[in-house]
Amino acid sequence: MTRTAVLLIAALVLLMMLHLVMPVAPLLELQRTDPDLGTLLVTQIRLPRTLLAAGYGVVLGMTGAALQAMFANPLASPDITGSSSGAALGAVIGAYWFGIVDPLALAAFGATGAGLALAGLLLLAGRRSDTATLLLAGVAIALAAGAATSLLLALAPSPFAFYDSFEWLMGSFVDRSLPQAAAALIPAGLACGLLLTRARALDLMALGEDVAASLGYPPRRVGLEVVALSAIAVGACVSVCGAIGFVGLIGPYAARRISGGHPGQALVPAALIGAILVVGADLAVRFAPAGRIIPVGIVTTVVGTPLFIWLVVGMRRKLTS
Amino acid sequence: MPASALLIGASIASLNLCTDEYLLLLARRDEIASVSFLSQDPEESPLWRIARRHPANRGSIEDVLTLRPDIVLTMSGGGRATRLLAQRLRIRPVEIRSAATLEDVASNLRTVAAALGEPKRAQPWLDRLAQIQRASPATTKDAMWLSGGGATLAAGSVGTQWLRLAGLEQRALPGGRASLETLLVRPPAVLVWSQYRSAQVSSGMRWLDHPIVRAAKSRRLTTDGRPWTCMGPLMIGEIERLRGAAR
Repeated sequence: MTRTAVLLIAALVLLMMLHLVMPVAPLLELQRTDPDLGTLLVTQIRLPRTLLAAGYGVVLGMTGAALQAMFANPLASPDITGSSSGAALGAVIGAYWFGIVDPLALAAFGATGAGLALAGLLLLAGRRSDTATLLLAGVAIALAAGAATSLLLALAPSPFAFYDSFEWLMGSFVDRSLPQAAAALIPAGLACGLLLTRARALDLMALGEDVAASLGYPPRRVGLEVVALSAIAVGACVSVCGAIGFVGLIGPYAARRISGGHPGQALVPAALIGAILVVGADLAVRFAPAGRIIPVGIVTTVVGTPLFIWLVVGMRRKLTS
Repeated sequence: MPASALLIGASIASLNLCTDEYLLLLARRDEIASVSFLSQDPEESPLWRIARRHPANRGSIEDVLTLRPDIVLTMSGGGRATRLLAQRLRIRPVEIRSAATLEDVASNLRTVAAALGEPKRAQPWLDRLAQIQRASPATTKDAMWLSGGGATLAAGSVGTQWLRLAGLEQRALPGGRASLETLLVRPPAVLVWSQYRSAQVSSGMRWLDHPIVRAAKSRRLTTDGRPWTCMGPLMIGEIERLRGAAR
């Protein structure tokens, strides 16, 4: 486990370094001609993007693992529970309809949207529902929130707003600033830190709700805490970068294999895998033709869809065998 | 009697923001049957006040049918359907070109004035266009026209030709887009900042608020972004103003 964690951290650091220096030609040139400008380029343009990609990946991996543990379901991830779409809807309402500019206030709108989506899911499917119910309720919420986001953008005062729906629903890290990165990552980091303190509770809940309750972790309270913290973390990131799919599903899935099925212990590996996936995907979109911006969520979705299908088929086989 | 004289007093319906511009500049009030709703929007056209004196249409021939225009004014390249439909409804279709060069602008002025039955009405505008071209500054400054999301003018486009008349040479940028890295590392001497819908929220506008864009070490000129949509004769006034400001 420790060896795997070290390997994951090493892979993440390597990818982040690559992410920061690529494309390398302008940096080398500035190193020769104007090193101060080169520093500005790295700190003001490249660094926020790298930090956001890694931070958002951590959030998706960790909240995915926590939600999967709480719902006792391997398909409960921020996108499939509708919380990412809810966060995008919240942020769009805040930015385009209330004219909110401050990134931190926008993060609050995102968190509220994600929280309401998760509350809606709990209301529709319950906390210990079967996979099909959870999936259906989550898909319904995600589709409704996605459609509402597009509708509100189509009706927004600016005719350009509609084109933004692509970015809100598929995510992008392009040209984000340091204050934006801070607005996403500080609340998300705090929420993830608090989620980590619930790792033992999540492990115990896997043994049975009564076991967890008898050891001082009332499942209802733990559930509410996980929902609120996930909503804050996901909402803050979505409000700056849009929704990114499938990482919250793949990260925890791979992490559970490392943690031997302990959901609480899967939080950190899931976070690291999530970060590796998002940083890797954002490196891949750099190879788009000049002037074309490919949302990073397209890459994660293309990679994640086969795994999702494989998971669903596997579960179906288990049910019918 | 010349053929054009038969058309004096004809009423014309324009179905497009860009055709509206020529019609509103060249026609008398009673010659305009309808203009597109976009021209009546202050965010889209500097001519919105005069456009609001006329019935609006949403770009469809059906909208103007009851107004019984003699001529319907459209842009070429919009498909043959409108033209064929107009002919079938016994309305004469007149098409103008989407401006790709300054000569297209002159040619469109002539076409619309001729459709109004009075070709000489184009002359004051043609004179102004010729004058601004004659007085074009001998030297140009390195410049970037900038709008939401870093959108800029494509190399060789009519926009760059207009900008050159103001003494500003649009820098060719890959993908027709200014990047933060370019603005930081190699900022142009002049940034021509389009004010098009600048007060409305979009991710493009958010981009313009990035610390790197705000701190770009370039001289900043603002431009009314509305005439840049069609790049038609309204550009003449805007370029004269920019030329004065860029000195």
